[in-house]
Amino acid sequence: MSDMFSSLIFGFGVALQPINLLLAVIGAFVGTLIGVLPGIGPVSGIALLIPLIIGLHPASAMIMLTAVYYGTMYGGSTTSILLNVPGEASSVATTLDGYQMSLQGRGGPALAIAAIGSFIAGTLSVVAMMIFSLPLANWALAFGPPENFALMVLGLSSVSTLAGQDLVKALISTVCGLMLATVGTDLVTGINRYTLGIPQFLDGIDLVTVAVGLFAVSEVMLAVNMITVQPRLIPLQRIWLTLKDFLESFWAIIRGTVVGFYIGILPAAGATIASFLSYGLERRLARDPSTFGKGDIRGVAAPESANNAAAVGNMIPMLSLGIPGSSTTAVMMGALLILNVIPGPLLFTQHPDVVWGLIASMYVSNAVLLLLNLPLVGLFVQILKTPDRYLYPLIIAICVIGVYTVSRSRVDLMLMILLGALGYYMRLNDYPLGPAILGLVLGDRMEQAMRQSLIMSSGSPAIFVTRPLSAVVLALAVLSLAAPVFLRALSSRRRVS
Amino acid sequence: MNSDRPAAIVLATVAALYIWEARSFRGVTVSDVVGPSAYPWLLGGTLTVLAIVLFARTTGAVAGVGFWGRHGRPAAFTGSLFAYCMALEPVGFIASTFMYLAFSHRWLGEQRWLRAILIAAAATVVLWLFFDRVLEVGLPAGAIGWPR
Repeated sequence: MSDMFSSLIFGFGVALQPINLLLAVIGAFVGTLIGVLPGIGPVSGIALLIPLIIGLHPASAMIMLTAVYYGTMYGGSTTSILLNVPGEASSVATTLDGYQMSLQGRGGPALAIAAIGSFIAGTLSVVAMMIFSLPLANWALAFGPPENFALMVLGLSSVSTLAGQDLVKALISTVCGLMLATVGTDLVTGINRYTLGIPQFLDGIDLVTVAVGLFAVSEVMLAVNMITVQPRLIPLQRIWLTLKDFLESFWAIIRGTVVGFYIGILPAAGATIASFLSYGLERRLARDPSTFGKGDIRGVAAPESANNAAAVGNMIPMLSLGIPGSSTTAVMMGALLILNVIPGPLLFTQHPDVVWGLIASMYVSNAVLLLLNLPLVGLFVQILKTPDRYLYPLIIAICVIGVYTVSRSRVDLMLMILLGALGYYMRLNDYPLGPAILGLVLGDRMEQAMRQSLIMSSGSPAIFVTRPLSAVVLALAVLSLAAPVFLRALSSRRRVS
Repeated sequence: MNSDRPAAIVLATVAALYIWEARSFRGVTVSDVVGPSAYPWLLGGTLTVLAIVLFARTTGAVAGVGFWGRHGRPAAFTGSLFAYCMALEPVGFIASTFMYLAFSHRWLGEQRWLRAILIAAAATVVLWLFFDRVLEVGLPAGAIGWPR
């Protein structure tokens, strides 16, 4: 325990360096802006910032990206409460009571409880993260290539199961992401695979291009089809909440934190599921559940706390095991890989400044966001008033700059457009986008682990099932895929009978 | 219209081409017993199975409005984005971005050309100053070159 505290003090030494503090403030501001604006979500927002962090120290880069991630969570709640338009999927639950509070002239207290709940949840979750991450990383040190392969299969299968309504389509999305990762020069033999004779593809398909194309461009394509009227903005009367409001929300915040953190650790079951679960829990525990959906402050406090706690929980599998639990952490992991830092159990010993600097920066980001968000809420509301006809072309221009900056090649821009069209099709036809990004980020390492395992066994795939830990993890992966199919069959049989 | 069946056919074709290309990957080393084609075979095979499942479970098509009725605006948007990206290097960031923004503002609902042009000009200058001068990311100058 004393080791952990000395490491945390070391982390604060890193996070509080003037440059890192400045990056955290910039990241928190930019993140909130990303969360507020439609079109750019956390995935494409963080991806667009990757070109700008190249050259930074990995610890500084991660501090900035983490602040952006946190900021998007805060920003998403502003649009949910004031406009009934969730900036992110994880803020959808907040609209249910948040917007109703706005209609009743209580938009200010709703924003305040969202910010305070997020601050409390974020801070408590970071403490839990410190407790869980290191033992998990130490345990994972014993993993060999077969266990790592099995773990990645489990990560991808859980993501596929939980990411969308349709398991087959989610699996197709995952496999397509894995296939994209095979483009480029094979590191073992040096031969080129699927490069189509295009030199830009020799280093593989760029993560920034895929994330921006699939997420941002496709979302704008979807939005230009729907530009009609501006949503009705409810003016703010007062920002601060009363002591009664806070006391009423306190246990909802604590419960939201616990639910959010544990859900966040599970692969794919990220902030969105956490926010809905905690909202449902509060409603079930309430003496009078009929107040929910009509402007109950607990209906804002619980999901907002849960989605921030889940954002912290999401970091644990990425930092300790090298397996990202969501699309956003997958992009953050991609950024670390670009900076030659390999997430996983060795990260704690090889790059303690990155891990502990990041953990300490989460406390700092929480404080910065609390100080930044409430006074600046007026500014964000003004930005929100920008008509879509100006906003969307501007977002696209920023996407073009971001992708062009990575490789200075027209090929990547064309690929971005192609992936944008693909993402548009996928969104309209219930193919989840997250598994594709996860597949792209994990693909290389998964192939490496598979080939190393087969070298160990002289080509026999039995190695994956004869090693106990690998067999158990693979069984869990099969179970995660089979369980929803089984449950659905069971419920339809019950309905028939 | 339900597009699952055409999508399944496209996916199966992609999987077949992917596996076909993997046949040419040779380069087994002493240590690497499976070579560079085993993993692509595994992925291509999995996609084939998923495409077959997608095709088999889908029942008849659902009638809907025509393609251009539903996707005309996104298609036009994609076309304008394509033109912008093609013009970026030869024409330069400032001119191409200004034209793209001005036309997009107008197309997406701005009633007056003058306002569309003024907002596009202001946004272009802010983007250029921020990315090229402050962050020094190096945007393409094009044939026109940079303002001094």
